[in-house]
Amino acid sequence: MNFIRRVLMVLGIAGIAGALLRVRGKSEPSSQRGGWRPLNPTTDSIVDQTSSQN
Amino acid sequence: MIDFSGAIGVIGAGVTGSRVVEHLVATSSLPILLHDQDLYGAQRLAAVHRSHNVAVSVVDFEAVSTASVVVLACGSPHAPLAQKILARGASVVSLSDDVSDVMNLLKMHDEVAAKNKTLVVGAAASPGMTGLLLSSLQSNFDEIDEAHVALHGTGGPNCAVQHHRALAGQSIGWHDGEWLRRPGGSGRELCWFPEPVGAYDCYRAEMADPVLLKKAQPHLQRITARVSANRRDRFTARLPMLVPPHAEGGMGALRIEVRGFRNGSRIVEIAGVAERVAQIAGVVGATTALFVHRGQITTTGTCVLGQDSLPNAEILRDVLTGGIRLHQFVGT
Repeated sequence: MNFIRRVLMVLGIAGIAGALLRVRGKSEPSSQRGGWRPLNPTTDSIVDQTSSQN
Repeated sequence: MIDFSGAIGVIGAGVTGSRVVEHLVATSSLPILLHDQDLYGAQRLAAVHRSHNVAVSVVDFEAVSTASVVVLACGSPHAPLAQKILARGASVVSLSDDVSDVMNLLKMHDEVAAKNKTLVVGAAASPGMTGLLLSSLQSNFDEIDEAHVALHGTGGPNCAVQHHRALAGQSIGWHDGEWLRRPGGSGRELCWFPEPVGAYDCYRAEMADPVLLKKAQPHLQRITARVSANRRDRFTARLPMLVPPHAEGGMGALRIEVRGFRNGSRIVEIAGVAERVAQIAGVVGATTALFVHRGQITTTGTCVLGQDSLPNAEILRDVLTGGIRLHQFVGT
C-alpha cells in the first residue's frame, strides 16, 4: 500500500511540475536569424563570399 | 538481337523512372529503352511520350542491356541487376538509396573497372544531389571537415517504404575516424528547409549518404544524415507499414550543412533544394546518365557524385537548368 502511495505521489509531483513548466515556462527566442536565398545558376555562383557565417 | 548501343536504357516506370524518362525526352534526342516488370505501366509511360520526337520503346531486360548506359530507377536491390547489365557491356547509373544495396554496388568496383565501364552509385536526391551540393560548397572553403545531410519527403511508394525502414534501422555516421551506429529515430534536430517546406524535426536513420559522401570526400571527419519524421512515423517504424504509401509524396526538400575553415576562420555553409523528391532524383539520374553516355564521365569502376574525378560543377549546372532551384541559407 505504501509503495502504491509513493508511486502516486511521485507521479503527482512530476505531473504538477510538468504542468507548471508547460504553462509558466518561457522559451528564449532563438538568437539565430536568417533565411533562404535562391541561387540562380545563370547569374550567381554558388561560391559566394558574403554568405552566412554562423 | 537489335543493337541499341546509341540508346539510353531505363529500368523502372514508376514515379522516379517516369521523371528520368521525362528529363531525357526534354533534354536529348536519344532513343530510350524502357523496361519494367509492370508491362502496362511501362507501355503507358511510353505512350505519354509517343508524340515527342524521341522514341521511347518498351523492351525486355535483354534488349535494355544493349543500351550504352542503363538507369536503374526501380526498387532495390540494384546490385544483381547492375551485375547482369555490366556483363552485357553497358554502363549503369543506380538511383538506389538502400544502404546494403549501395554497399554491394560499391564492392563491384574491381569487376566494373576490369570491364572498363562506369557504375555511378546513388545518383538520386539523397544520395546524389547531396554529393553535388557538397562538391559545390567545398569551393567556398580552404578545407572542409564536416557534412550533415537532412532530407524531408519521399518519392514514389518504394521510396516511402525505404523511408519507413530507415527509421527502424541503424543509422551510420562517420565520426572522427570511425563509423558510429546509432538507432534510427534518435538524435532529434530541428532542421530548416527551403520554403515552402520550412522547419521539421529530423532524426537519425539508415541512410546511404554518409557512406557515399565519405567515398566522395575521404578527408571528411564527421558525416551525419537525418530524415524528417513525425511521432507516428517513429512509433510505427518497427511495425509493417500500416497504411499503403501514397502514389507520390508531396513537396520534399533536402539540405546539406558543410563546416570547415576559410582564411583560418571556422565557417558553415548550408545549401538546400525544395522540390518533389522523385523530381530531384529523376533529374539527377537522367543528367548523370547523359554525362556517362556522352563520355563526359570518364572514370571507370564505381563512382559517386561529388568525388573529385567527376565533372560535378557541370552536372550540377545541368541539373539546375533542368528546373531544380537551389537555395543557400544566409544568416547568423
